[in-house]
Amino acid sequence: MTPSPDGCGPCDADPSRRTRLEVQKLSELPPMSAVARQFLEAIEDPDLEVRQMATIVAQDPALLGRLVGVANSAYFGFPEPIVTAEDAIFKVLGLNMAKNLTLSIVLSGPFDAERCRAFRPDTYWANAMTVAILAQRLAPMITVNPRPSTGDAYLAGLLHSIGVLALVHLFPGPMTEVWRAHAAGAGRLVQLEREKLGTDHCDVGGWLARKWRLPAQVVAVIERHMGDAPGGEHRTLVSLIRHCLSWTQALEAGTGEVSMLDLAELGIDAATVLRVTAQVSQRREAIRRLSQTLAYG
Amino acid sequence: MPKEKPFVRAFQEVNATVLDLVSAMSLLRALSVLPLQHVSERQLLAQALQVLVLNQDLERCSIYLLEGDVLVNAGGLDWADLVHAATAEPQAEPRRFRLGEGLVGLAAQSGELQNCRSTDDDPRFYRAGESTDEMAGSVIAVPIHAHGETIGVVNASHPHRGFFGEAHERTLQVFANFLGQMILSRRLLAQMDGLVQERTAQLEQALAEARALKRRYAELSVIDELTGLHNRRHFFPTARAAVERALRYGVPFSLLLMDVDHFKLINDTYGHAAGDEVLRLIAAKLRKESREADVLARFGGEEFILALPETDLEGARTLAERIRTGIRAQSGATGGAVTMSLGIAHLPAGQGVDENAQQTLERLIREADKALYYSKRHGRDQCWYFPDIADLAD
Repeated sequence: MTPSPDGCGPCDADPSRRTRLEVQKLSELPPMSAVARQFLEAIEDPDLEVRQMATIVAQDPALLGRLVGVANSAYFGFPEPIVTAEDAIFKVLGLNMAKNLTLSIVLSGPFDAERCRAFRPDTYWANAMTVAILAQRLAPMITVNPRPSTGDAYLAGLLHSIGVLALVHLFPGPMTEVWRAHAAGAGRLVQLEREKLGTDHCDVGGWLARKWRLPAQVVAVIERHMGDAPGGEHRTLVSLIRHCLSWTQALEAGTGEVSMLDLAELGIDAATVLRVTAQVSQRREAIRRLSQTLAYG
Repeated sequence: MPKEKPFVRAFQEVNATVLDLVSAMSLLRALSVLPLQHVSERQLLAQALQVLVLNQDLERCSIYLLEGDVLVNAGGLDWADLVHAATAEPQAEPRRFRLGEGLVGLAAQSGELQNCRSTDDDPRFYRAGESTDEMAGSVIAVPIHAHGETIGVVNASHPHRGFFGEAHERTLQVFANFLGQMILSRRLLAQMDGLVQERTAQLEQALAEARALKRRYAELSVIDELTGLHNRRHFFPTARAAVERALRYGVPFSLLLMDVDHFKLINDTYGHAAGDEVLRLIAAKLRKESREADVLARFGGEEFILALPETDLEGARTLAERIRTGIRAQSGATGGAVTMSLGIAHLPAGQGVDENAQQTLERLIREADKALYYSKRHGRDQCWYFPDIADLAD
């Protein structure tokens, strides 16, 4: 393809723009392989219930994001933002449309971990799931306004780094280098992404989330879960996810004591935090084992 | 990947089409709820563009409206503007196309959609000599129709060649048709609003004028509404003229100042309606007692004044006494006798002093007032002549 005369065409030198155009072409992301398999088994069952299907979809960032996004299309005209798989299926799409949508995504093939070897889907999944569960449990205890719903907290937690999935899927080669450099301690992930691709997974996730028409609070978390301390709209939810993320990352690093999660700014007292994080810590091993199964089959 | 699975592919394509249709319907739904009232055309177009970019994955779109035979840019939105919530700087000099010029001009001239799949080798695109800032992979220009006429063009671009397919063409044409109706409806609404505002303003102006007139006439009025007598405004110039004549021709002039006794008590005891009735009865009596040439007026609340040209002191005394006794004899609405105190001032015949008429009149009123005050102080229901009391203490 020849560059267009003004240099703004598809082959232009601005890597950020080129990445964005690729993301814009992307209508869906492949799901985790075991989630895909679970869904294919479940769909055989003529008595598949909304809740069963919602449970399967809610495990996978790519499926959950897409389904919730379609349910938020203006066409359906649902008055409030839809944030849970169950609401998306039950209140908006109907079981059949939800099944067909999910099936067409699942049939595009599961996430191909081989394409980007340095990327660890199990770690990615375990991280997303831990943040989601922790945020979901802490949300009802927030005493400052606006208090996010448990659905908001779960969805935002699971999707906060959806941009990583998109980048790995679209640019497996460059992202392999990014992950290798990251593992070698060459710098922060977003910084390495910027060097390689001219943009980072926060921006990319934001583009995808907008394209998928995810609710504004989820877009806010995806775009602002890293970097400077958040202000502005939806800052309670953004702040909650940021805290849960740093706690999860510390746990994952496994370097001795996990620092005490301080949620005073959200109005949650230390004893409550301790109790909830202890519960999630206990489930962490189960989550880790499940993530390996889900990612690699 | 499902290369060897035609059914899977077909299924996925059908699903993708469903999603495209959902997007198209979402676009129309969002467009349909845009408010038309109390928004400017520019605001309406900006909102329509936002709805379009949000629901159609476009890179950039703009709207041109026909003004005479030139298409003038009336708004544009970039995908990046939306993400970064930046408001596009209003262009200092909006872009223009003549009819038939470029894709935008062609779409307006032919009334038909122009889909340029690749700007690199499309003569329509080059002919326009588009400047570099809007260079793009593919461009589509859709005429906006309203009432069977083309009123403008929606222009959208995308950096990928061949981006706009049949589905886009159909969706954008429906969007443009709806937008045309909305632009027209908004213009009609605004026109009606303007008319209503104009008429309201006219009515308000007329009302204000009527009020001003009313106030002015009230000021000009020389008649006291309650008693039908003249008021102070009439009294002064008329009485001054009479004094002037008296001074010039050396004839006498007298002045009576009268005040109802205990009027406040009457009001407090019998009510204001009764008080008004007393004033009216006294006014009638005074009118009956005065001559054609006399100047009678209600001077204040319960105060009356009577200027008597060519009247000597004796005549004035006689009249004053007649009035005093006449009033007392009159049994008013109060059921009891009403009395009045009087003060007389007098300008003897041929008494030329170095005062003008105005000063003389004012002096006479002051003197009559002193006499009246004396009457009040000494038991009311009396009549005094100023020179008689001038040297007495109170």
